[in-house]
Amino acid sequence: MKNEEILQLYDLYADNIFKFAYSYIGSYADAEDIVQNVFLKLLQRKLYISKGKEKSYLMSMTANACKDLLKSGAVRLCVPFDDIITNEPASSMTDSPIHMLAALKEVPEKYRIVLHLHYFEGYRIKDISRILKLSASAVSMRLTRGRNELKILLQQEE
Amino acid sequence: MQEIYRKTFEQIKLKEESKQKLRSNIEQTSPSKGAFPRSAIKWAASAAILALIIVSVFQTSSYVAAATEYMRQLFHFGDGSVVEIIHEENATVASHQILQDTNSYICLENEKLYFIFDNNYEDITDKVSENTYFRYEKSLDNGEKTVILVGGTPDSYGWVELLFDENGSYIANRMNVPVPVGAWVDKAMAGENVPTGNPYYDFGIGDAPTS
Repeated sequence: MKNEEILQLYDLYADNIFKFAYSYIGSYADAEDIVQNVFLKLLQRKLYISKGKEKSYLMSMTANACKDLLKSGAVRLCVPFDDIITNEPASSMTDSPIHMLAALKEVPEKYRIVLHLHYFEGYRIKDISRILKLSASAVSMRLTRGRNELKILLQQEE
Repeated sequence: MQEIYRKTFEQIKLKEESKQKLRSNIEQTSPSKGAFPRSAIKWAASAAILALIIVSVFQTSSYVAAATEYMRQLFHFGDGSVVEIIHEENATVASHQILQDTNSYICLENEKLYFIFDNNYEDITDKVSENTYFRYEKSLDNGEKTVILVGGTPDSYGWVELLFDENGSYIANRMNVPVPVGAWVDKAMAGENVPTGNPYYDFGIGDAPTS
């Protein structure tokens, strides 16, 4: 893959990768690092990615990079949610992004990443199973459990 | 719930300044040269770092004393990593780049810390803590000596590597340690008679640091 093509992918997907990494790790600085590392890896490995598969491939690379980082134990301090969110008035506590993030923090990461790919990126179970290299039934189970946990946590916030 | 989730993550954005900086780092990295050193980026991008990677050259060494104009030095570390230090005229701080990727000397498996280097795979969990460290020394083919110091706990661990020339004089160090830096780091460096930046060890001022 040529540098220009990689930069095009960066312009298109850097934000998605950042959001996914942030949902996985919960640290702004680390999510930033992950974005860079994913694209540098792409550059160094001179990979060929099939047309139309770029985003899911990048998501898969991001999931692996996040997993490695968490394993290494080198995750930085989380930036307080307030610094990241540009506050908007919420109609209730559970409508507030800050409370959503606070609740998400309590959800295990294996559920969190599935929730993100489904809720934010709109991927179907089959696509998520390819990205995370999990069986469809495992993804489905994690989605259900994650959704339930998040619901309970949000209700507690009320 | 999905709507709130979407709303939340629509607000989480890579800051435009960071985005441009990362883009330019990627743009400047040619596939053959390898990655832009992560540590240098972090120094520039954020002061709130937890994982700290430092490469530094002993300022009074003869190498640096001669560096009145542009000078390029290559340092070969124990694991085969090569670091290039560039001194430029009138620059007070030398820049560096990691030409060959660095490996870690320590890994965590099943809550145990292992020292991995030079065909060693040793469980050092009980030998290290916030205050104690594990030491490994090796003579390199070019006559230099590397001393690897590993410390911390399974929750927070790291390593420091010190390089000495054939006369035993300290040349350079690099480290990958979590911040705040554990007491073992200064203790380990002081044990090798290397400046730590800690007045207690360097000048005998104040009380012994505690974790």
